[in-house]
Amino acid sequence: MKLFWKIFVAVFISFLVVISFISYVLTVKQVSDWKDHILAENGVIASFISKEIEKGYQESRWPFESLRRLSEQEDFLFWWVVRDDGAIHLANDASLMRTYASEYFPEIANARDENVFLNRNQNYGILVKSLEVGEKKWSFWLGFSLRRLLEVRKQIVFLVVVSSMSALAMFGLTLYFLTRHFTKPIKDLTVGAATIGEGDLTHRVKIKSKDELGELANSFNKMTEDLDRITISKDYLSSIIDSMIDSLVVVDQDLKISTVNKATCKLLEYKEEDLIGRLVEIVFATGEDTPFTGTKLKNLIEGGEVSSYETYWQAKDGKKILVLFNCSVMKNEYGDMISIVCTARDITERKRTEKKLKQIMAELERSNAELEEFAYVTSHDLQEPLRMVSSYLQLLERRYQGRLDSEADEFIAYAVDGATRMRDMINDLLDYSRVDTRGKHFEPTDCEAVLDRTLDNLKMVVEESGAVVSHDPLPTVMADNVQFVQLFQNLIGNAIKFCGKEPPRIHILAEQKGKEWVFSVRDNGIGIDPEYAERIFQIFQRLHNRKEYPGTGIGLAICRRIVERHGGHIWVKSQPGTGSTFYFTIPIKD
Amino acid sequence: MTDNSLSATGRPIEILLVEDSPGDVRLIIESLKENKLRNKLDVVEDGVQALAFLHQEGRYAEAPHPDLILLDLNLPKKDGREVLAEIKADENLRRIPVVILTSSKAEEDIFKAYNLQANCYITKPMGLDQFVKVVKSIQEFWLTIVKLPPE
Repeated sequence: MKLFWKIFVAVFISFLVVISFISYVLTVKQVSDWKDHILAENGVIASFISKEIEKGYQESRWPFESLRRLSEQEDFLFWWVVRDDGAIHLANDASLMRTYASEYFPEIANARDENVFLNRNQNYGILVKSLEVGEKKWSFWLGFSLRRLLEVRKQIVFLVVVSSMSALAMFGLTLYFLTRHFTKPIKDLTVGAATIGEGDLTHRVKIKSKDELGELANSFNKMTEDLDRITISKDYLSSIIDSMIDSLVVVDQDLKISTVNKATCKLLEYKEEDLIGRLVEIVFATGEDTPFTGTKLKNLIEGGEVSSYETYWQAKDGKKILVLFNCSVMKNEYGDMISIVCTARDITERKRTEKKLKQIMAELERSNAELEEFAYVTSHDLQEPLRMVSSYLQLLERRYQGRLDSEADEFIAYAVDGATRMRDMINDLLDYSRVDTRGKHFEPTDCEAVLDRTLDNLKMVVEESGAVVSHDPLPTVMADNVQFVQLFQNLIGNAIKFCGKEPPRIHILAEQKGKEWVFSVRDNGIGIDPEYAERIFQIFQRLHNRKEYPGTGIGLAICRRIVERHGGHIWVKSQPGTGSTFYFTIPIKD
Repeated sequence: MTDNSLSATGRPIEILLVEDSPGDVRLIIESLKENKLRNKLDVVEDGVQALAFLHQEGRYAEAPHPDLILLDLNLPKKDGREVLAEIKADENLRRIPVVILTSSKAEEDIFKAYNLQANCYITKPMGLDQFVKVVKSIQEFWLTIVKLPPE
C-alpha cells in the first residue's frame, strides 16, 4: 500500500496547498474589495457632506438634513466638524462639542489632511476630510463601523473554507479511487507474481478494466498460461526422480554426491543426508575398480559416458550388491563438465537367473547327450536279437518250404513280417529322436535348392508314378538344411505315395504372413478325413493298412518334430477324395 | 573258377571264426556250406580263446595256423579290437588277413579297425539272403581270387 499512500498524500497535499493558497488570495481580495467599497462609499458621503458644509458656511447654514440622513446610515458611528485648533465645533452628539478630538483619538488628532484611519482591530474607521471654510482649515470627521466588513469577511471566510473543504473532500475521494484503481492492479500483479513464483501456475490475475492495466493483466495471465503449459514444475520432476525404480545419483565436479533419489537410499539403506556431499566412492564396494578413478575417469570425461558397467555397490551394512552401472557427463554450453549423472540397476536377480539358465542349459545338453547315447545303444543292441529272429525265421522258411503244412508257412510268414516291421520301427524311432539330438545350427537355406535335392532323392518314385511337381518361387529361410530336405522329402513322398487313380500332381508355394513364412504342399491324392487331421501327426499312427500303402507311420511325426524345432507349426486341410494341402510355418528371424 | 580251396601244399584252407553269438556261428556255417568250397572252420567264442588258439597255447597246442580270420568286434573278455591290435603286432600272425565281420556300422568302429590294419570291414546284413550272399562273397574273394601268403 505504500505506493497508494505516496501518490495519494503527495497529490492531496499539493492540492491542499494550492487550494489554501487560492482560498487565501480569494479571501484577502474579497475582503479588500469590500473594504475599498465601504471606504469608497463612506468617502463619497464624506466628500458630499464636506462640500455641503463648505457651501453651507458661506450661507451660514449647516446641511442638517444631509447630516441627519447620514446619521441614519447603517454603519454610521459619528460625524464631527473639527476646528483648526482641534476642538470639536459640531458633532452628531452635541455633548462632544467644545471637547477636543485629541481626547478621543490622540494619534490622529492633528490630522487635517484627507486620510483614512482604521483602528487596529478593524472594527471602525475614521474618514477625515479637510474643510475650506474661509481661510480656516477645519476638517470633517466621519466615523463608520466596519462591522459590515467584518461580517462579510466572516461570511467570505466561511464560504471559502466550506468550498475548499468540499473541494478537498471531493478531490480526496476521487483521488482515493483513482489511485486505488491504479495501485490495486499493481498489488494484484505483485501477489500474482509471488504466487506463481512459488509454483502455482494456475493462478490468474483478475483485472477487468479495459485500459493499459487490463492489457497488462491479460498479457501476464497469458504468459502464466504459456508457462504452465511448457514448464515442468519442480514437484513433477521430483516425483519422476523419486518414482524411478533404478538408482539415480548425480555427482558434482569434485566427485561429491549432489543428488540421490529414493531408490538409491532404499537400495543402499542410507538416509539421503548421509549420502549428499560424500565422495561418490562411498557407494562402491571397497576395492572395486570404479569409473571415477585414474584413467577411467579421464576416459569418462572425454567419452562423455560409461554404460553397462557391471560393478559392486556397498550398502550401509557392508553388504555387496551387483549392479549394472551407467553414467554420462552433463556439460554446459561451453563444453565444461558440470556434473555426472549416474544410474544403476540391481542385477543380482538377473545374474542369479542367468546362472540358473546356464545350469539348465548344461543340464539340457547333458540330458540330450545321454538321450542320444541311450537311443543309439538301444536301437543298436535291439537290432542284434532282431536279426537272429528274422534270419532264422527266413532260414526256416527256406529250408522247410513245402515240407511243412501251409499253415506253418503262414505262421512263419507272419513272424518274419513282424520282425521286419520291428526293425523298421526301431530305425524310424532312431531317426525321430535324432531330429533334436542331431539337429544342426540354423543357417540361411534356399528352399528351392532343398526342393531340387528332395526331387533328386525321390527321382525313382517320381518317374515310376509319373508325378508332376511344380512350385512358386520359394524363399530363403533360417533352417537346418538337412532336416529341411527330410521334411520336404516326407511331404512330397507322401503326396506321391497316397495318390489316387490319377498321376500325382503336386504344387508347392510359400507366402509371407506377418513375421512368418507359410509353406503349402498341395496334392491331388486320396485326401484325409478331417476327423483324423490331428492324429496323423502322431508316432506310428496310420489310416491305412500296410498292404494298401506301406510305411510305419513316422513320416508326419518327424515332419512335425522338424517344423516345431524351427519354431513353427504344421497342419493339414483336406477332404477325402479331393486331395490334401499340408501347411507349415517358419518364423522369419532377424 | 579254379579251385583254389586247396593251398599250395594241397591242404584245405583254414578259417578261424571269432564269434560269440552261436546263432551267427550257425548262420555262417550254413552259408559256407552252400558254396561247397572245401575249407576247415575253427570257432572260438571270445578274444582270449582267439589269441590262445593263434599262439597255440593250452588246449590249442595242436591248433592249425589259420589262413583267414573272421573277427567280430564286440566280444566278451578281450574285445575284437584288442585281438586285432595284438594280431597285427605279432611277427608271426600279422600276415594273416583279418576280415572284421560285425553288426556295427558306426564310422568310428570302421575307422579304428582300418587304423589297426584290418584287411577289410564288413557289416553283417539284416536279412538272411543278404547274409548268405555276403558270407559266400567273403569266401569266394579271399579263397578263390586273392593269393594268400605262403606259410
